[in-house]
Formats: sequence, structure tokens, C-alpha cells
Amino acid sequence: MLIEEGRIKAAFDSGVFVLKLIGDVRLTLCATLDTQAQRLAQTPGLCAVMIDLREATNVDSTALGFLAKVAMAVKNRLEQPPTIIVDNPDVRQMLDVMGFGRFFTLLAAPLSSGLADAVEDLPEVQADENGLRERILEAHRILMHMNEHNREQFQPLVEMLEAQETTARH
Amino acid sequence: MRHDKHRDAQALARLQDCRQSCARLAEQNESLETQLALLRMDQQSGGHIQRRLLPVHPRTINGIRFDYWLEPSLYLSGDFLGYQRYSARYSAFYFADVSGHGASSAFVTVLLKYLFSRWLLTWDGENPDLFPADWLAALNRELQDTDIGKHATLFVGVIDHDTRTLHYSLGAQLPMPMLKTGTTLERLAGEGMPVGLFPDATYPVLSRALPPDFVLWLCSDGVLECLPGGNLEGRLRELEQLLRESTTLEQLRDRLACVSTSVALTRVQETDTAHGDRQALPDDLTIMMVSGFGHAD
Repeated sequence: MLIEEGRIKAAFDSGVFVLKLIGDVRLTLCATLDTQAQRLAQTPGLCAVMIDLREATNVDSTALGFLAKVAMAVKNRLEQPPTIIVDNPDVRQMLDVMGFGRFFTLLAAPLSSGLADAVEDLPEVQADENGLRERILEAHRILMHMNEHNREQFQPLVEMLEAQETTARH
Repeated sequence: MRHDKHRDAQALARLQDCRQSCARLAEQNESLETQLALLRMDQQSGGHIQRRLLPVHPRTINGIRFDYWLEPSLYLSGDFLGYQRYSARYSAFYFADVSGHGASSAFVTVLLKYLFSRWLLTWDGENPDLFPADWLAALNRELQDTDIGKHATLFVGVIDHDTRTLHYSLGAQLPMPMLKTGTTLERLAGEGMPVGLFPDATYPVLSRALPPDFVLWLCSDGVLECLPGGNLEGRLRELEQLLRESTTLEQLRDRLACVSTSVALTRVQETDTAHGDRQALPDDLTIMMVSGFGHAD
């Protein structure tokens, strides 16, 4: 009855949780996704969260609510707020209107290799910031590899999300 | 060909199996249809209650006319609105879109209605400019505390009939409210966070002088799904064009039905038939029109 073409993929590698939303993502009929957000935040070894919206054409309010819950759940666990990569101006405008800039780092593109070199040229900074930079770079590498190789490690989270979506549809 | 009794028996058994499963399917089908009819009736009666909770329309309060058109995606709506007279000087209204749609969102709209009435009852009539932002902040706390995992975009306004001023605040309202005076149409300024999403959100305190003759249009984001245009800005411009051309709610509705790209709105407006599902809109769709001054109460 409802046509839903959106998908959510997730990967977890080296402490970085990557969520990728694709297409027209509508979780409208899912009552709440709090538990899933909590579960994500409790992933052992979690250091950074990155959300890739570059292939998302639309993100509905329930999905946005889920992302907000994720930000709230990891708020005191991560050194840096979660990153959202968004290049679609419509989706970006929606995030701005919803005040996501306060809880996420919004970027139009992951750091390119050229930029990565530039980062390495920066003067020496504190050790923990170095570690953080490493992790962020790694996250971007992972993100870039996501398209090339089919090596997404599906987390229980995604299965659960999809299961909920299926239940909602039938 | 030699007659094979064994093969005959096998074929007969298969035929009987077939008949049995066919009968089972028919039975299951009937049971499912009964369940579906029950669910549909349940949803429909929920929808009727929700309609009753919406204010009478059109209604004129202190010379301001309030009217709306609300179309749920299916039966129950996550969109909601209300308007109330506070005194001869003030009237207050709100326009909300709860995340998601269907029953879970509809429950939250009932909560909104209750909280709005209660907040208005306890208001002392002082500082009308602060009323909308204060209510949104309180609502944000309330929704966070109930922990239902729902949030809403909202517009709240208090009209001061003496000074002809609109005091308002908003939480992530999109499309922006549009104020029409004469032939000019302007997007009301302001930005605020959705209600119930982030803790400790604060909301803007905004005011706008109202000319003697104005129309304020509020649309839920469901309207965007019905408009042509490759991107958000294009659809917003299309909406503005429709609002410029329309002087009544009916005109706007008809124009919207004409340009609608996603669904045939006219089909949805037809009253529910006893059987058969309604065609679902992708999202709830609501348009509210506030106009003044000088309407007879």
C-alpha cells in the first residue's frame, strides 16, 4: 500500500559507527526508535558516529527524530558530536530548520585525500586531538570504501529497523 | 498404457490436498477480511473523535476569522490546530505537525490540545509577547518528560486586537507561515527547534504588526508532497504562487488539487465508502487560514 524506497545501512569498524540513509527514507509508522538509538550508543568501543545522507533524497520526521535521539544518546560518550554528511540542499535546509547544527557537525563532503594531506601538514597538536583526527580520517576512509566494496557489516540495529519497517507495512 | 492404480491413488491424494488447502485459504481470507474491516472501523471511529476535538470552523473571534482544511494521510492525523478567545483583546492559536502520522501521532495531538487549553487558562493576560515562546518551552519539557519519542513542529500566535499585533513563536515550522497583505506575500521570519526533540530548547519571541487587511496562511509539510518542483525551494515558490492567487480556502484547495503531482486529492476528499480502502496521502495535509480584521463575530 505504501511505497517505501528508502533504506538504512550501517557499518561498524574501528570504533566508528557509520549510518547511511539512502533514497526516500520514511519510518513514519514506526512508533519510536529510542531503543535502537540507545543500543547504538552502547556499542562497545564506540568512538565516533558518522551519518551519510548524500544518497538520501528525503528524510522523514521520524527518521530525523531517530538521528536526534542518536545524538542525545552519544552526547556524553564521544569527544566530538556526530558528523552528518549532507550535500542535498533540501535535506540540509531541513536539518538547519530543525536545529541539528547544535548537536551535529554538518559537512557537505567527507574530507578528500587532498584535504587529508593538508590536515597532516598542520602543526603538532595535543595527543588526544591527534587520536581524534585519526579516527575522523578513518571514518572518512570507511565512508569512501562503502560504495566501492560491498563490505557493509550489517548491525543488529539495521535488521531491527528493517524488521520494524516491514511490520509497519503489513 | 498399463493402468497404474498406485499413480491414480497418488493423483487423487494430491487433488484432495489441493481442495483442502484451497478451503483453508478461503477461510483465512475471510478471517483476514473480517479483521481488516474491524481495524478500519476502529480507525474510522478514532478519526471521528479526532475531528470532534478540532475547533468549529470557520469561526470568527474578535473580528478575526479562523478556518482550516485538514486531510489525514489515512484516517487519523498527526496534524492538529486550535484557536481560542482569551479576552476581548487577545485570541490565541496554534498549528502543529506531530512527527509521523496515524494513531501514534494522533494521540499526541490530543495531548497538545489539552496542554494548550490548560496553558491558556493559567495565563494571567500579562506579556502577550512572551506567551508563545513560553508555551513552546513548557511543551518541550512536557514532551521530553513523557518520553513518548515523538516530536512536533509548531507555530503559536497571540493576536492583540487593540494594538493589531501578532505575537508569535515557532518550532521548526516548514513551510514558513506566509502573511498576505494586498498583493504582497511575505514569509514570516524566525527559526526555532522542533518541540520535544532536544532538551532545554529555547524559542524565539517575535512580533509582527498586522495591517487592517491581512491573511495568514499556515501549511503542514504534507503540502510539499503535492506540489510540482524539483527541489524544496521550487515547491515553496509554487506554494507562494498558489497563495497569491487564492483568496479563500476553497480556491486554494481546488488549485492545489489541479497542480498536485503525487495523488489525486479529489479522490481523497470523497467520503469514506463502506468497503475498500481510501487512497493514502503520503502525509497528512493541513492548511489553516487566519484573516482579519473586521469580520463580524
